[in-house]
Amino acid sequence: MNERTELNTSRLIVAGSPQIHDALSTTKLNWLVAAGVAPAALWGFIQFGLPAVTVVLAGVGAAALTEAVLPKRVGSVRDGNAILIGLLMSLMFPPAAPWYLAAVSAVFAVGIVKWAFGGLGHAILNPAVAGRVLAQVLAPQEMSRYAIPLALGGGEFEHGATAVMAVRSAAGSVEPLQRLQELGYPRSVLDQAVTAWLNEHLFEPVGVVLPSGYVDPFIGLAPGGIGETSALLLLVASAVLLGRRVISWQVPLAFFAGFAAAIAVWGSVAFGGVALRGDVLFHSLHGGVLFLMFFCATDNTGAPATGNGMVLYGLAAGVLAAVLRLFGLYAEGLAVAVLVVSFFVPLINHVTKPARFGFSRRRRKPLLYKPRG
Amino acid sequence: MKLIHTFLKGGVFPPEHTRTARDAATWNAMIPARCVVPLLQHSGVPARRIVQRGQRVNEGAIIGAARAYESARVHAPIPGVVSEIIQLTLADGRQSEAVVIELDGEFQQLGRSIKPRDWRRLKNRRIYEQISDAGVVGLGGEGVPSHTKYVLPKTAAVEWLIVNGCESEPYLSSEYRLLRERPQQLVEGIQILMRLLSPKRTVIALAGHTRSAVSGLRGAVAAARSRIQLQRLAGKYPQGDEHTLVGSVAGRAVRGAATVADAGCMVIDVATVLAMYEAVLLGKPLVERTVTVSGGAIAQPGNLKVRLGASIGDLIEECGGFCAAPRKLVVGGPMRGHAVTDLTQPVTKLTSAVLALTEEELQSVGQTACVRCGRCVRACPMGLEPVMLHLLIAQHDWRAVVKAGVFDCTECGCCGFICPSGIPLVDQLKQAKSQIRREEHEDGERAH
Ligand code: SF4
Ligand code: SF4
Repeated sequence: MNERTELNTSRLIVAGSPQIHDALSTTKLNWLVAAGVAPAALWGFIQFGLPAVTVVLAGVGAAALTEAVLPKRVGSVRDGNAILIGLLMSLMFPPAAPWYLAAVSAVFAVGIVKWAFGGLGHAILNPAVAGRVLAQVLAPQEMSRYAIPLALGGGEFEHGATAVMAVRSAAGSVEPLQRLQELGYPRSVLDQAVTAWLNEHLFEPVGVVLPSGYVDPFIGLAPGGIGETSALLLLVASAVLLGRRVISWQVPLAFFAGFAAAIAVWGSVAFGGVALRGDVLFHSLHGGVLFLMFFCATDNTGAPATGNGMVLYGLAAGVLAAVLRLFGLYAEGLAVAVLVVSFFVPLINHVTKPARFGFSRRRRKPLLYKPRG
Repeated sequence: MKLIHTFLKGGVFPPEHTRTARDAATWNAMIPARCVVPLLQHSGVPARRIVQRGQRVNEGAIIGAARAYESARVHAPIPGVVSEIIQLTLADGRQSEAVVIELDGEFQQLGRSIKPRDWRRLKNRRIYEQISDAGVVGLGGEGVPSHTKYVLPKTAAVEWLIVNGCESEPYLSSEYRLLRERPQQLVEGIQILMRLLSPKRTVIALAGHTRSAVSGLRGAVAAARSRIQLQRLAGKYPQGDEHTLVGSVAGRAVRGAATVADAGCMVIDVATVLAMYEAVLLGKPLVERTVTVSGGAIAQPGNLKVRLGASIGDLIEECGGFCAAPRKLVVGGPMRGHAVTDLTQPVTKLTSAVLALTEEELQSVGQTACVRCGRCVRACPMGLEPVMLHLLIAQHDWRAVVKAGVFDCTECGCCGFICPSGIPLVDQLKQAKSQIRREEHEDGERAH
């Protein structure tokens, strides 16, 4: 045997099959999702300035610290899970929320929702979502302080801090965008310019007119949660994560289907209109729906294990989110929808048990063929 | 030809090796000067050794006789002298006696062209004899002796004969090479089987990269005026497994614990068809097979025609040796193969590949706690819930483990491959199976 086939056997690994592994590990998954929301977070910092930075720092710091000081169960700070929890949670906060509220909620999320239930993999609710909901319950006033982006002049919109809140609180047109216009909701020049261009080149030839007001929330010039405002950044990030199979497609797709259907049916009714005339686009672009469905609802924790279960879970959460948006106590903070559906996950897992190969689905009996031996 | 089909539930997309061996022609490996020939190269009972130390053997002489019906003959791959009889641990962990032959004397078969026999004149019984005399076993899977597998089932007629032209695992390309290089022989071999089994439909299934062998095959089928059909399948792993393949091609779901023959389906891989062809037409015993040598640490990946009993070290040397430090040496494919540390391991009838994998290729993940992500559940083609099995196994609740379908697990490896927490799910499932079998056996003993 020549030197090219010399082998350092002490460096060889012997393990059972399979001998190779998929590129993703739990640690990588956490960091990849965190990287996915990072651009949206940066955009939030640019939009809302220092207050937003403090909220996120407080949330992430408190989450990491909690994980570090609590006795180890499973995992550690380095697996990125606690940091991801803190990050996702604080990105759903209004930029003007007090930083200590973010810190307290993060401690709750990591210390109670995750750790007290047994740590990584044992929690039954999504900690980030639970933290966000806790803050809403603790300080509903503070959690409604949404700032207008600095580019649109900063400050706070007097008729309800976000577009959705404004639409819900004031009377006026049935169409949400018109209602906003009547209230004098801030619009950027960009919005008008882009809408005009789109209409001229894209929509008019096919006989449709796009009302102005959709472009701002699409690129992210709107009041909202720190990381929730830019639909564009969130869509790009989730496309990348979906492509790498980091997040599932079942949950966001079903969530959107449920949400869109419910909004279409009741979206207009809520404002004195008729059924089936809801503005799906408006509601999808505003108020953190995309953030919730792509980054929070897709988290393992509090989600079902089976493919069909994920569809069911997504659908239910989507419909519930829409109902909360239209008729609930708080116009913002749809996160609670995810939390509620999580309670039903054991049931969902049970009814969507996968069909065993070669078994009939309903009776769970072997189809035709008996086992050998 | 129909649209591209596939099995519906589960499956994964493991990476292929970047420097694939697929495009280079199969070459003949050097004849080894020393062959280590295990007597257990198939599933079932080991062959009975019929040679002694010091005895001279011819090329192709019988050295192990089939001990029972579920056994297969073993032949001398090279002419020479039996220098030793040793005990050996095979790559798959089984123990076997092995005959060591030192090369000496004349080759009677190599390079000599034999006039093919006209198999159409032979009786079926004679054909089966030829197959069993040549020691043909399934070269793609567990090595079931072919004369026991491809017989008319008692319960059903053979409705589907499916020739498995899918690569059984990633990294492998030997099936593709055979499909490209020997389509006429393949078709003729299939015709033999069609006569033995008289299936209602005969299909060659191609998946992933073997799909591009379709044109050559079409020509060979047309030239033979055969009614063999070609079916293209998606390149998803484990497309080449019997159960998923029957699901994809025939649309029949057979639970993992049952044989597909019970559903009237016979699956045979390309290499085995060709071995049968050689056995029946040329009277050639099974003493060589095609092996893929690949992996990031191999200098020149390739497909080699190898005499059984050659060491895997010889093959690696022939492929230019290592070009990087291997972290895993695998006999078989990356999903089901066995990691070994020993370059003297012999090539057997079951050795589909020899892989030397680098650190980067392993992408190994340290074991952490299950995060209940359900990826294993969604990946399992048998519709099992590996995470549930994992929890039940930890509780030693064997009754529940059986009920949850552990014996339907085909050990395809999808769950262990995908689990982001690096839990050795397949190991646990295998161990649970043998534990349960052992306990059942002990209970049985006690009852007597
Ligand atoms: S190894 Fe068994 S349990 Fe795991 S995916 Fe394959 S069939 Fe399912
Ligand atoms: S893939 Fe691994 S971590 Fe995910 S549920 Fe299955 S066993 Fe648990």
